[in-house]
Amino acid sequence: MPNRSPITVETVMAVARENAGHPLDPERAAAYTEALEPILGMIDAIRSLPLKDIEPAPVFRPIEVARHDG
Amino acid sequence: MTDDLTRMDVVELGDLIAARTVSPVEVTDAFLARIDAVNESLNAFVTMTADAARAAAQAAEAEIMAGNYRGALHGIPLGHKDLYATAGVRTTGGSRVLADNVPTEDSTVVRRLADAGTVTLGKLNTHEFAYGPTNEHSMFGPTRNPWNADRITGGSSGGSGAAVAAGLIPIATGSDTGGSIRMPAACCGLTGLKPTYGRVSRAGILPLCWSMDHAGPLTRSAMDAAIFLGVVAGHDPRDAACADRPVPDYRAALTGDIKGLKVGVVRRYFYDQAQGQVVALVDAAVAELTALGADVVEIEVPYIEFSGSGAMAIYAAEATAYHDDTLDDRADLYTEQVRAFLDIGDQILAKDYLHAQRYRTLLGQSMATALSQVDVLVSPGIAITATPIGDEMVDINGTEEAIFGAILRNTEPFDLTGLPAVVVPCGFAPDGMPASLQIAGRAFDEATVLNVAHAYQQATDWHRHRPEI
Repeated sequence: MPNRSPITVETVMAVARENAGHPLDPERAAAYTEALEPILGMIDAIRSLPLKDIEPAPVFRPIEVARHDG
Repeated sequence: MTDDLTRMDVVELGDLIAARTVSPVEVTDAFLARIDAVNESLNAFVTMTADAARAAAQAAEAEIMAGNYRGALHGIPLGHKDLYATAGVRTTGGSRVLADNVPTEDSTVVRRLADAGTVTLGKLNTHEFAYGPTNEHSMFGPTRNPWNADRITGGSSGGSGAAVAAGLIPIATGSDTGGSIRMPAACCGLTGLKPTYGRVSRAGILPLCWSMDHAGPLTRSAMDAAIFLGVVAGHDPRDAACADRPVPDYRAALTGDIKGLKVGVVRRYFYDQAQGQVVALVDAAVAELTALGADVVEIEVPYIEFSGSGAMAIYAAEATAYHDDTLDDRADLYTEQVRAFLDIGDQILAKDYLHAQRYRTLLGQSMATALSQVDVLVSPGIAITATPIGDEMVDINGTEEAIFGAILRNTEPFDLTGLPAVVVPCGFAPDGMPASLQIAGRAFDEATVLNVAHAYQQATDWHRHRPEI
């Protein structure tokens, strides 16, 4: 199981502002941080599974162009 | 006669229409009158199309009288979840963001149902953008459960669930990303089918999560679901995920014979964290399958306990990506709960999303192994009965748990794996609310899944109970 540091209000605010472009006020960021910590912990737990030889499920589909005859 | 019509299922109404015993106009008027009387207390329909419905019913009547009967859905009234695009009719997704959105084109499912002769009565309430399992958060307010108006309907197809259960329509469309057809069906005592991923086109349905969205019906019986699926299934180039495979005759496949069928009970995970009152009813339903000749065995599905984690990473990333532009400048238009979910999606790393997508394959392999040993898997449809509107926590055998997690637990694994799953009512708990049995099967084998549901409904009458409202 990888070690993950608990997320902080400052990180939530920075990601929202700088990466996502949706600035959050400190109060909202604090509420989200409280909700996020268990969610991110759950998601991180997936890494304990035997995923080594498994590709992600989404499949890129090449765009086909209809042929014009004549 | 009018009251009787609104208590019937599609097969019963269709037989009367085909025999010209009643006309589509009589049927439509009966349901419109029922909506007038009851909808205000349930908040199921949010947009009515009564005039267009009467015109469509008259057209259906004329066609049938001229000998041009189209099939089992001809002249049957229905409603569409307000996530489905309907040409010329407001489609909001339950959100102020799309309060004035009027599509110019029907979604594929709406078009195929119209071509089959159905009569659309209106649009049905949904949890905002389908992003929640309770139907409490919508620009129109919460939908109420016909079995107890203080309880949730489940969501996100909660308007569909309330409307079919209360007899406002005999059948409705829904969509299912974490369980949004099966949860309201379970909460409202209905049959709800989530087909295989790719079996039914999602073109024209507002997306929640592209890689997990499914379209399907909420009905009063498995046979009605089979009829619906036969009409809407099939390839659609407008949906890149839609499978190009033949569509079986589902109705003919529902023989009700399940002798010798192998049924797997996945007790760990599906039963361990379900309310005792639900488990008791589901155990009785499984005993009924044994009595019908099925060979019931207990079976394991490794890694299933990570379903909630995987699903959360995928919803959060995909939903936030879809809503990114709106969040830039109109975030205040979302309900507080949905905005919070969308904002939280900003914090999901790309690698978390990809790990979750890898997990889906791992779980799919695990399910495939189980389904190589049995024909179907059965479980409680949802772990709880419908909770009071406004509650956030639920008691499960002495332990308090968040409702969102508890209600999604048993349905999410089949959205992650894309496998077909149906829920059917299997009795009423001591709190007076319905409980349900879930039957899931192999990819594209809706016929077997529905046949087990049909066999169960031939032997029991839980699906015939109607709330007194």
